[in-house]
Amino acid sequence: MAVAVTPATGTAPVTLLRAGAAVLGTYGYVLGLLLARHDLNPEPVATIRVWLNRPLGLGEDFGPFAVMLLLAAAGLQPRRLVQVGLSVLATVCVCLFVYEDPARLLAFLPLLLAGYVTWAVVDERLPAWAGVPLGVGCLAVVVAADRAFPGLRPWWYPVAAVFAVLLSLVVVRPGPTAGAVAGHPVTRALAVAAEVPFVAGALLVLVGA
Amino acid sequence: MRYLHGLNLLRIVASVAVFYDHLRGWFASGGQRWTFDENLSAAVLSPVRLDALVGAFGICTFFLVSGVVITFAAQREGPGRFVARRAVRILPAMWVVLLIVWVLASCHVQVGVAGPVDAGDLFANLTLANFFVPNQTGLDLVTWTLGVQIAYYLFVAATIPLLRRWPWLPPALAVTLVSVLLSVVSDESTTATHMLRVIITFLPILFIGQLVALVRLGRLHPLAGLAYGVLQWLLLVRGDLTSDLTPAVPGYARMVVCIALLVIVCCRLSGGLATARWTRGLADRTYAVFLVHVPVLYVTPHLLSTTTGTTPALLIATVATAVLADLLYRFVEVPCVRWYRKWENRGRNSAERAPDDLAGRVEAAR
Amino acid sequence: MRIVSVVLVHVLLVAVAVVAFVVWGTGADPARASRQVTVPDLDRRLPDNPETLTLVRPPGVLVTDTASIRSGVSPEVLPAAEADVLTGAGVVVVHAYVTHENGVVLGLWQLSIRDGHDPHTALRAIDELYATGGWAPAPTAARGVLVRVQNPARGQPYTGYRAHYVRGRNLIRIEAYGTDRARVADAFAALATRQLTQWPSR
Repeated sequence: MAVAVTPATGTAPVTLLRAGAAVLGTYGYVLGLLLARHDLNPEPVATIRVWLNRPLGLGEDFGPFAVMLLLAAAGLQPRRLVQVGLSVLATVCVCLFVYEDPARLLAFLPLLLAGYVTWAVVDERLPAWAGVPLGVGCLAVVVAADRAFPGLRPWWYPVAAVFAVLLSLVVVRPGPTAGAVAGHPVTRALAVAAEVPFVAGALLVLVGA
Repeated sequence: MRYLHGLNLLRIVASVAVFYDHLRGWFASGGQRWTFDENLSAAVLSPVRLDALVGAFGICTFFLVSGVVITFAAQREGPGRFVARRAVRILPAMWVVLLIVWVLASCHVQVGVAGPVDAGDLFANLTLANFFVPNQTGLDLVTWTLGVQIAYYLFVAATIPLLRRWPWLPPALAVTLVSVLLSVVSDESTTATHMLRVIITFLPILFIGQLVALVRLGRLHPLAGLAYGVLQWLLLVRGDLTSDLTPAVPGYARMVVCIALLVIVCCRLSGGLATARWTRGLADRTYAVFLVHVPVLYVTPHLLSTTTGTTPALLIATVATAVLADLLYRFVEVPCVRWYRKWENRGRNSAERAPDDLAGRVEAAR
Repeated sequence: MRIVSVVLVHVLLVAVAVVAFVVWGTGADPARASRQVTVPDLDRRLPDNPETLTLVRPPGVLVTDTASIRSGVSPEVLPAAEADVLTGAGVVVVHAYVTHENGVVLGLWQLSIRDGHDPHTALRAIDELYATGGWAPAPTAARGVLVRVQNPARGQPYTGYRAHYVRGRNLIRIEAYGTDRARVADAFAALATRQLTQWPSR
């Protein structure tokens, strides 16, 4: 599937972010969620939680971070409305069925705008002096949601949002190696099906798995 | 090799962060609330879990940036010159500040020094031995970071020949070295072993900076850099998980990842604020600010209890830090570096001189 | 350098690290075992274990902050009699916030008890110490919380409140003292309510 983004951004950033979202979304919202619902903590998940999740401050087995990557990738390709719509829909599914908490949308959706602002700056449609405050403003919305809804506070969504934004800024100008990784068939396949793990997680909760 | 202007911005932010963190202690020691910090912490720092990590952010940034720029310098300098230039860059300013603090402390001026001082304390501090030998009074406690820096410089100097021929080898050696040292130095019950453990725990941050530089220079494949970087980061986590004392504050691991990503982004900046003259000027003075701000803050907390309020006191402390840092930079750092460069180039014509190039200009960095 | 040589060098370096690991271990401090406090980890999917610090931040100017230091401080920071009792009951590390506001000193202390010791023993021991010192019991609706009050007397102008309760492996202390009795009572009640709402006895 050709992801038509402007020449400035190319397809590699979107592919990389979506592939990352797919992998982490599967880990977080399929495997991790299943284990949590059955109160299990087997290896190697237990070790990953101690050595990666906790040191990074990314909870729920990277699930919310994966949602944020998906949305940031969607924001990087604003002309692909179907893709954007699917990503938002996947996010809504997660919020409504996995969390049963629509308030989490406020913590996730700003990443869509952050991705869009990044695209606009890189594509020189928006000057950096305007883009940086807007991007910070997106993070501020996540922070505001965190403060407004005490139930969100233990999950550190602003930390995940900061990581997602920084990672987006790094991949938005990919080098040859990143381009090669993005062009790999496995990466492309993961990117194509990036929304699937999130919907699958929602379905798992719905069927009571 | 393009000069990395964007890193100057990071160094300024790091300097502000360290100063800000010590301002908190300054307000508390003056018996005053710092309403601005309370509001900022509640609104911004606490949600992004930076509340207790403001100082750590500054230190991590300095270490990472240092890892990057020192690697650039090591591309063009032999081991001897490398060590000499680093020594000239950091030691004279440190020695001057320590000497002044020691003199003030000897005259019983409240400058943040706990207890009486003698010549032994001065010598210990000038050589950083105060961090290894028990019962030594510290004159400027921020200098512990220089212990980590110097350890990194020694490793880089020793591996410069390897770096030229096999740029992957020093990073690989670094991973093994840190891993072995973490295993060996497990007991932190003595002053020396605790300081060793501190050095070992924080070295991975500088090595991650080294990897960013090597990938950027095209001397290391990005995937290899990523692999070594992940290993160094895991060693940082291992150090954290296996010690109750070091690091003193939890959260360094996620901080390092954020800053590494920021460094990569900032390395690409080439216009606007990044290249402004004042940015360069401020960035050049961050080391001086780092050295002088704690003694200045310790001299001035009494200002907080005057009737004019905390804002004038804060302004005075900030201006005093800025002025003293500028004096230290202009009259100690710059002359020492210039003198050394002249000595390096003695007897050489202009074609033979060590170029005032990227390596020379990144002398401003530690 | 050929690929084979690169791989061999890496294998050698890994071997060195593994040997060091086998001989000297992970790098964990051997003295840790005697100070081990196993903090309950109720939800491993959380980005952090909130039970590592179960204190709210008291209002006012911060006078002491050992809560931000991961290793905390030794129980020796407490008055000698308390330190003896608490150390004997297994307290190995102390985290605390102490502030002052409007003439009232407020404190929240997390006294961690090492594995193998019952935190309720420490609770009873410290409450008895305060009883012996003339602090009267004060009523409270909070389950599991023991509150003591010291009223002003000849030569002693302070009103003081000390509440202790157990949460996990920690003995938590809530304290307030000052010379204005009403202000101290109000400040203590407010702080205790906040602390117990967020970190109730368990």
